Amino acid sequence: MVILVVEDSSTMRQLLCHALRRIEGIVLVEAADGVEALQRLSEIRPDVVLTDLNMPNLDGFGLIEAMRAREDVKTVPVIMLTTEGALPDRARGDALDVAAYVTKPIKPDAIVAAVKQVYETRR
Amino acid sequence: MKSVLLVDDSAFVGTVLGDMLRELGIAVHVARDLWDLERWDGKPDLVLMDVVLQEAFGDDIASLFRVTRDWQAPVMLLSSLPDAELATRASEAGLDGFISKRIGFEAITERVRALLDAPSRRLPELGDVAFDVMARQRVRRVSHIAAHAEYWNAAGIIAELHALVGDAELIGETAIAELALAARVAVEAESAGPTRAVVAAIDVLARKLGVTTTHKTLLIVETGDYYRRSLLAPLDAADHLVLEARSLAEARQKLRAAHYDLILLDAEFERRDPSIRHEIDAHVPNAPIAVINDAEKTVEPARLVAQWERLMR
Repeated sequence: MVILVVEDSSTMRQLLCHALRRIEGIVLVEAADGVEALQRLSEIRPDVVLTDLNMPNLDGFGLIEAMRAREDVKTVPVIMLTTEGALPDRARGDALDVAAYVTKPIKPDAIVAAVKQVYETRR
Repeated sequence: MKSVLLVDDSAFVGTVLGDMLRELGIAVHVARDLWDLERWDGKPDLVLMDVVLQEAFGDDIASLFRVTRDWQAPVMLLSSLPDAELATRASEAGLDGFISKRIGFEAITERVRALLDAPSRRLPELGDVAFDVMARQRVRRVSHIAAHAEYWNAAGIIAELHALVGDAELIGETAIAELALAARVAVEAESAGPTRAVVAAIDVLARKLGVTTTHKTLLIVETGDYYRRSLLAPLDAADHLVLEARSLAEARQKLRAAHYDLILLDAEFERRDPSIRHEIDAHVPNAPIAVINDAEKTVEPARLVAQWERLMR
């Protein structure tokens, strides 16, 4: 299973990757914002993208919009990380087919469960 | 001089405990979130780590930083979670123990002093600590989230109430701690949206704190803690809700999280990060912006509040 982890905080990226390494056979690719994620998506084809919402240069919604417009990655499922007290625009998320939301503070078990569930459902 | 890194998203805890430890001659660096933490590369003699932070859990962060940042200093969890849970979290993360916030500021300060073997001194009085202002602002935030179905997020409300329980217990405001806990329990029982029970529990807490109404919602974009804090009391006294952003990333997140009647923008912040204007225009295109320059920072905050209220009409 290949997961692209998109998050601007290096600490959060490390925490997410640390949690996800519990999944056997997982391959993790990291990006610090939406622009870098789109570059990675030209090099690899992940099974799931796990992205933060608030990021510089290109945010989570912008990234998904760009993905949905690209033939090669338009169907890749996306899990979005959101901050407490600030629900993202669900209508926008639904229109972009966001597969799941995970609320911060992140719980390692919840991250692993969300990734496994989305991966199994979309196979 | 011994030094402490205090990681806590409660401005109340950061201010009060930070000041009390400094009075003992201990250097204190306060980090309220990962952004603060990532920018600081000091070597403390002790780390005090809150558990429920905005982005991740303190025990997970401490465990990671032990490896990636080579943290050698002892790490103590500092939280109002039950002792048994704190003991388990500290042990599983390989940390050095915990200090419960329930024992109060003075006892915490004494524990830290003993851990650092710092000399004993008289502790400062707590008289001028603005617990009530911070508590009222928390309740205003909770009510704001609950009143806007589009922003309803039980996790956000639970986090605010959890922090309020902790703050209240720290200074022995047990009646407020109990009401905040009751409201938290009511919210935890719901996930679909704020029911009557949730609204009633929040109302009881609000009345206890003297919050009868909230007129306007403001966002202060400013990196200077001292000035930002000086604006809180007069804005709260005028029954306004104030959200704060200290970085572009935080501003971006907060701009999405509420409707604003006014944005207070530090001129220095904008000089350093001109893209803040673009962020504000993108998220709240119709909100008025009041730029605060150095000259205005010398004006009595109450007078500025009167000016800003004219802008919000």
